[in-house]
Amino acid sequence: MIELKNMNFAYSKKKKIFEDLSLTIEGGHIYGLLGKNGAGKTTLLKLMTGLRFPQSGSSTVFGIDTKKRSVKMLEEIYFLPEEIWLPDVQVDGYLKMYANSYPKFDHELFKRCLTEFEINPEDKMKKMSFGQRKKVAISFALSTQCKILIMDEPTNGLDIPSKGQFRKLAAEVISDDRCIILSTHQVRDLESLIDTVIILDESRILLNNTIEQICNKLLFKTLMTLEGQNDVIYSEFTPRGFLAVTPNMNGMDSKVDLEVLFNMTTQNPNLIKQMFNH
Amino acid sequence: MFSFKRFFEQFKMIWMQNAQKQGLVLAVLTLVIIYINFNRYYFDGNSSDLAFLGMFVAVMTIINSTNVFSALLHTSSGIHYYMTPASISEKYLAAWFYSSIITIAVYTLTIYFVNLASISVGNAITGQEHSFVIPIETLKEGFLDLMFVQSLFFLGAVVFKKNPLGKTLLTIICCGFIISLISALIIRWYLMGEEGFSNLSDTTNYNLTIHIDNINDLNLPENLGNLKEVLKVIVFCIPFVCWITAYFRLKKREI
Repeated sequence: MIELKNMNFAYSKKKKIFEDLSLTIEGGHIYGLLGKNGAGKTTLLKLMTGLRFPQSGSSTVFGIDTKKRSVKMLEEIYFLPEEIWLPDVQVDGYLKMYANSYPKFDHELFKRCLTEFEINPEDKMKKMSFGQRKKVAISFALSTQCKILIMDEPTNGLDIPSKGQFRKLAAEVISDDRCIILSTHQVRDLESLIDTVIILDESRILLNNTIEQICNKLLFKTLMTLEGQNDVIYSEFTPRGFLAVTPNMNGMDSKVDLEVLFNMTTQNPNLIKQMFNH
Repeated sequence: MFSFKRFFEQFKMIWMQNAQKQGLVLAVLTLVIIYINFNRYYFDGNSSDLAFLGMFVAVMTIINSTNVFSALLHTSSGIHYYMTPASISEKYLAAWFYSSIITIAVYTLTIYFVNLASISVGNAITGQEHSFVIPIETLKEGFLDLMFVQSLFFLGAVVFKKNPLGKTLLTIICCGFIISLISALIIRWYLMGEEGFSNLSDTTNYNLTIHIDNINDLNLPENLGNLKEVLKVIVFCIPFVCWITAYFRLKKREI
């Protein structure tokens, strides 16, 4: 669906953001794009959508060069940025203004999303809180039925019940020919939704694997002590014990802790490289 | 492939976003015209209504041309703008159509109909017989001037990332100053050897002052006459250059 090949990008000559970066995004997945502040997550999303142009290499969506910003591409890709913009009209008015631009827009789904989020379609956007406007923007994004849905920090500003509703609605719209890319720092909010993890650090991709692949290689567990645990490759102390990671030698099942995985990857990039053959 | 449907959708978006503000401006304009007409025709006031109304349309053209790309001022609205499914040419033409043709047409028609209505009502109330004549020639000249102004601010709206109105004004003032200076130097250079130049130019202080009252007495050299024609062509071309540049800037702009 999206293909970045040997891409280089920099805002200035001194600071390179991406160097020879290659990445393929496929349908049927919900990707979690993780990275530290300033790692280039938003820039990567902008390069994928043609909002920024790579200095060399290529960025294509369905084989179309993103630089062209072609209508065919724009009809199939929706980008919801962290800071949303909505015109000063009623929710219904917004729908009248923009829904026609998306050929597969699902009005019924939009209504349902608004109902789930408890938003009145007759309310004016100007009088809404940030969280409410974000709910309108998320509802619209999901209803466009675009094959690629990119969301930058989608749960920022959402209250606790709305985060659950968001996860439910996002899981509903995913299919084999669609994908969702979620860039986030709030890994706990989206842990149950993400099925593929991309970790970005220092202008390169450290990890790009499915949760299943990660589970096959790593075992996440809580230990009361690290004594005698010679196979622990990473651990974090918490009041409830040590969150530890060991190689999964016996094919055991465990729940991937994305926060631990992220910290482990950024602190031991070479180990991860060896384990996942990047 | 250009799609009129998408062009219309883009135009509708701009229209709906600005409808409330434009409605308010048109209401104010209506009240101002009514006041001017009653003052002029029925209370014998001193009026310069045409110049004022022309200025009003020019200001609104400047504001609309600058605001038509207001989405580009912020990252979030810029993303929304570029990610909306329509080609750059459809987005560009919708913005151009709104800020030039529609703006000028709406204001001109408002001025025409409000004038007509207010004078008819005024005549009926006072029993006087005033008529409203459409100054066709003034409208034609005014339209070309407005397109010139529109093109400059339209380009400024795409080029400048912050405060496009202020920066475009400043650029126009700076360019105007430089062009005036160059023109004055050229005129001075051409006229240096001409008879009567000493009457025109204050050579004692060696400055560029030219006494305008006396300039018609001078026979302009043929080359200078040609220069005038060249300048006319340049001025005519400026809007097209601005519109084309604006298109390519919009196409290549990154958010």
